[in-house]
Amino acid sequence: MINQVKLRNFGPLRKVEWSKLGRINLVIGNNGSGKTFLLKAIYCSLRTLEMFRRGNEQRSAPEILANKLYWTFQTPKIGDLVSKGADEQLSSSIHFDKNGFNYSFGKDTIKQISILERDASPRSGNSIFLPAKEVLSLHQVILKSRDQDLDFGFDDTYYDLATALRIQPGRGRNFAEFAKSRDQLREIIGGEIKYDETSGLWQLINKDRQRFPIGVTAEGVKKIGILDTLLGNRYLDPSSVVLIDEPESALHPTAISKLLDIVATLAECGIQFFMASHSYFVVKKLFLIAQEREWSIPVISADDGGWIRDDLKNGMPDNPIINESIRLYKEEVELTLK
Amino acid sequence: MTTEAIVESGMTFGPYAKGECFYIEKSKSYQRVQDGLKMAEFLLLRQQKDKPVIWVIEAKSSTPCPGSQPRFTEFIDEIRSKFTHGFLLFLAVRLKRHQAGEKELPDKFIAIDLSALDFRFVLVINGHKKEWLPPLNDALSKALKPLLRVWALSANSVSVLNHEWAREQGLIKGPVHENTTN
Repeated sequence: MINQVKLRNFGPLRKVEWSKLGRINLVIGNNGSGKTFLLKAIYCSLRTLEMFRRGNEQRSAPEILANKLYWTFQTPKIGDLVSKGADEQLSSSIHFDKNGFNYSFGKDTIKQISILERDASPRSGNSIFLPAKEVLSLHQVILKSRDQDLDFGFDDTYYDLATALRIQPGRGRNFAEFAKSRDQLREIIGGEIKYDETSGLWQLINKDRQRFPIGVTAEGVKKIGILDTLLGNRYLDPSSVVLIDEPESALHPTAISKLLDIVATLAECGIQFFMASHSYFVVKKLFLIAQEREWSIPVISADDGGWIRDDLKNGMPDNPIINESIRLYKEEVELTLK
Repeated sequence: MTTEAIVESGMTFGPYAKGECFYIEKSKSYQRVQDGLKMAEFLLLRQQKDKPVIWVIEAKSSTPCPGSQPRFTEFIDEIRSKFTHGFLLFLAVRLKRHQAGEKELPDKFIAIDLSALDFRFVLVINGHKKEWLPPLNDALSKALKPLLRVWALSANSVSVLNHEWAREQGLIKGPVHENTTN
């Protein structure tokens, strides 16, 4: 489990120090504050450790990392990721228990990362980044643009997800600890999604075994279906880290609550979650999960270029999402009661 | 102290079991120190998950009253003061800081172990729209956060209810009269 993240001069993230991380961790802030960037930065380190020395992989950790950064952030050279105007190098340090994965490079770096320290062992599990937009409708397009055309456009978070979804469920049994969560996910969408090899398209199969093309199903259904598929094809296991950008996108508040209950169940099984959100419902629901389960749910909020750390176990954080909700309430009360 | 129903802001609270309600706003302890203080209505001793919990109750009416309706910030500040003063006065009485104050405190309130005791701060607003309750709960929680932190109380110790939810919680047992100013 990741228990500390330190980033310096990483794009819009001038300085982030986030420690004592929990099973579920939340990043909140306004648009453009760097929430997604933070999740992607964590993802690149994770995937490097997961690809390193796997199977017949021959590349060194710096080579894998440079490639991952290039295709995830899609800048002409990875040195472009260094914060504009920064005098010092970009640096990233992620700790798994006491073992670190640290690297740094300067703004002139093209693809050679010379400073990389690794105490952390290669990871056998898989982590995944779930982008705000669903990928099922564009599944083939994403794979073609990257596998055949090698074009920028769909970054590695989309490509890795599209690739992971193509893994067919093995003959082995699903992880028993995921069974309940998968039932709940299917309950939300009223069925399951499946890839149809004949047509090369995804379909929603409802409880009556009726099939619907994925293009005519709701965005939220696709999103939930993706998580169910990754649990079912054993891409995710209890050691995985799941990073979700805007879990609220395309979901009704009721579905958000149900999804987060499932996230909590999966977190109990061992999966660690990082989520970036600007939804009141997400913050409120996670606050309630922290209270009910007496869990620490660390939260980091963007605030005028800096980051404020808090814990939902200690209460709702003082941040623009909550403040705007209160401000709207004041506006309504004063309008009505004047 | 009382087994009779308490009528506040048009709502009839209780009656509650003997010895489980302390009408702190009408207590002698409060009468002696009331200058400059704002006081919650009453304290209710309840059991939650087999643990004693004291609910500090404040009742308000949301009936529109042009010209007299306090603005939002002042309203939150007033409720925060009432809860804080009610909470502190109870502890002061319980710790025998007020002469003879403990005599009016029901035995059950005296018997509980203060170190294990939990508190809830419950604002009941007569006739309030239920969709207005969550942001008000957030605003009040934010105002009371320092008190909760200092006294190591749970972060979800604040609840804002309307009369319907208060009835569901067993707080209101008698009639409710809407359009009543407080």
